[in-house]
Amino acid sequence: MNAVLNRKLKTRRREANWNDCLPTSRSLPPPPPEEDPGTPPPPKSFSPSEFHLPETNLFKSIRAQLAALERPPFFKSELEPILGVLIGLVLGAFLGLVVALGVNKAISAGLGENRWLLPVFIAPLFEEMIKAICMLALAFALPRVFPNRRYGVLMGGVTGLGFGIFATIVGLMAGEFQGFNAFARLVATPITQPLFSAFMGIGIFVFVNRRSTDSSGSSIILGLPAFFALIAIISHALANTIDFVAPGGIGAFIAAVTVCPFFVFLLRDFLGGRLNFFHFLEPVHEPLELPPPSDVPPP
Amino acid sequence: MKQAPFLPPPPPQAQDEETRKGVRRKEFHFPGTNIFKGFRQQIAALERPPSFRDDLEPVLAVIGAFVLSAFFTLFVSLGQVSVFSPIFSGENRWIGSVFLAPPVEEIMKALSVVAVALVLPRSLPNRRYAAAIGAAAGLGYALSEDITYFGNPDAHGPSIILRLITNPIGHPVFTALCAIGVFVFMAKLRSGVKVSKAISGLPLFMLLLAVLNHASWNAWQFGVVSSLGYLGVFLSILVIVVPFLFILRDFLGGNFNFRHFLESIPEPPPLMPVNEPPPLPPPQYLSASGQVQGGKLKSYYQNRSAKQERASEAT
Repeated sequence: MNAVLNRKLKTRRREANWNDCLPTSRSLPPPPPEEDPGTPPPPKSFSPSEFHLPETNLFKSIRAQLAALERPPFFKSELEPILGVLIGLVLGAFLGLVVALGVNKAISAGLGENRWLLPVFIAPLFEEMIKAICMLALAFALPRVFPNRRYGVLMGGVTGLGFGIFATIVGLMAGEFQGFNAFARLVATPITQPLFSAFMGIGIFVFVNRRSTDSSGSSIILGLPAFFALIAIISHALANTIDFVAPGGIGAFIAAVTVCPFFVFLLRDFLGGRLNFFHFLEPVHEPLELPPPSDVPPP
Repeated sequence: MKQAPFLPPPPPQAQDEETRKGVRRKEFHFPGTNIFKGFRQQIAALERPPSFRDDLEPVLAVIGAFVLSAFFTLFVSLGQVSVFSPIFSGENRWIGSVFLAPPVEEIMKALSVVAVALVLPRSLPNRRYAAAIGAAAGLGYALSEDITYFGNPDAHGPSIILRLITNPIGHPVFTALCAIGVFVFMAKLRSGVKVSKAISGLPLFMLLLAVLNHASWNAWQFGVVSSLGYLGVFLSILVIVVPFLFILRDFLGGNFNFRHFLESIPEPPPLMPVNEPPPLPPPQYLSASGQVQGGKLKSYYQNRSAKQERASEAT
């Protein structure tokens, strides 16, 4: 009995000694390389699985200015951007619809033969301004929902969507749109109105972030915010003009097919050269412009 | 010019400090409730941690639910006007409003949430996301209904304002309840259960709860508001909405927890009752004739087994 036990003990000791002799790299994982805590993590690269058209960089200086105003998103809760979206939708639907459509109807009665002025000049200006006011109200209610230009586009798009959807519903209920016109509106409105307001959303993002810094007076509105408001109004006016020239929904359809892709391309460039739908809300890192190498030789 | 009250993000050290202390302690909560224990545990068993591809995904789900239900109003109101108005008109108008409109409207709103869940399957990871998306669907429906109501020749100033105030409170609560049912339904479907089985049980219960809430709201509008006037409209919020909000709060985990609304609250695991094990029955032995015996026969068997053990040790 004892002999058997002794033999077992000896074999166990031999195995233990053999395990001790194994190289440490096999038993323990290699230590992680030491990282400098001061250096920031490298920016996330785009996922290769996503499909992207070639990148663009047409508005370098504007993009650099936008990037300078951006800050990392910091929400009190995950509900905050969702609340922002809901407020944008509701404000766009109510304030936009009630005020803009009411005033549009009131103005159109007094225009007489110059009826074309309303869709081409007055309505785009007025509607975009109303949407801008809605976004400003949203920015005051939830100041953290405009951390970067992409959130600005989201909030702008949502305000435009609320406006567009409810304008279409009212038109359908009132019997203004019928047949192909109704179909064209249903297709075109969720594309066109959010697109126009998305530009305004970038402008509001700049306005809000300039206001939170030291800027004051007219310098907050002039420059980029005014530029983006102008783009929003021009795109809206173009689409409305085509719709006015070719009534019955054909114009709305043509506008959605011709005007919108061009402005989507512009928007894509302002957003960093890519729409990047799978990571839409992640800010894009703009390449830093390095100063040209000086000709003065080193001492 | 006065500066806007923009809050700078807190330094990372402060954030760590906050999370270590537990942010929830700072929040004001009414006492937690646990009325529907069984239901809550069933729902919690179906929950999974949120894994969105992108931050945009829940936002898109909310937008989708809002827009879809806003459009569904159009079909519902057109259907009601063309089909049921001739039947339930005049004095019978309340029948359509109390018994017909609530199930139809709640089903339409639930369908918009189902559509969103089918297109964005990751958007309903837990009941709280479902409630948020459901509330968005309810809000879209309420707004759309309000806007179509404004075109009604009966609509006048005070009634429009009252509707604008009360409707966006009522509909989101009804649909939030219903959306929790949709969450359970979708989770069951994912686990391979048949559609007919997935609908039965909690999803149907939640839908019925939403319909009940909606029907009682509509009944109040007909029964009490006609006698109390505008005061009745505000009372309906207290009498109808608040109790159902309380029920919704319980289903969400006993707390609304607004600052961390989308974080699911872990349910306490059901504990087994601590009882002493029942005493073992006295050993009984069978005799060769099959009769139960104790006493001598028992001691004989005990002695025999002890002898056998000793013999095996010796060998």
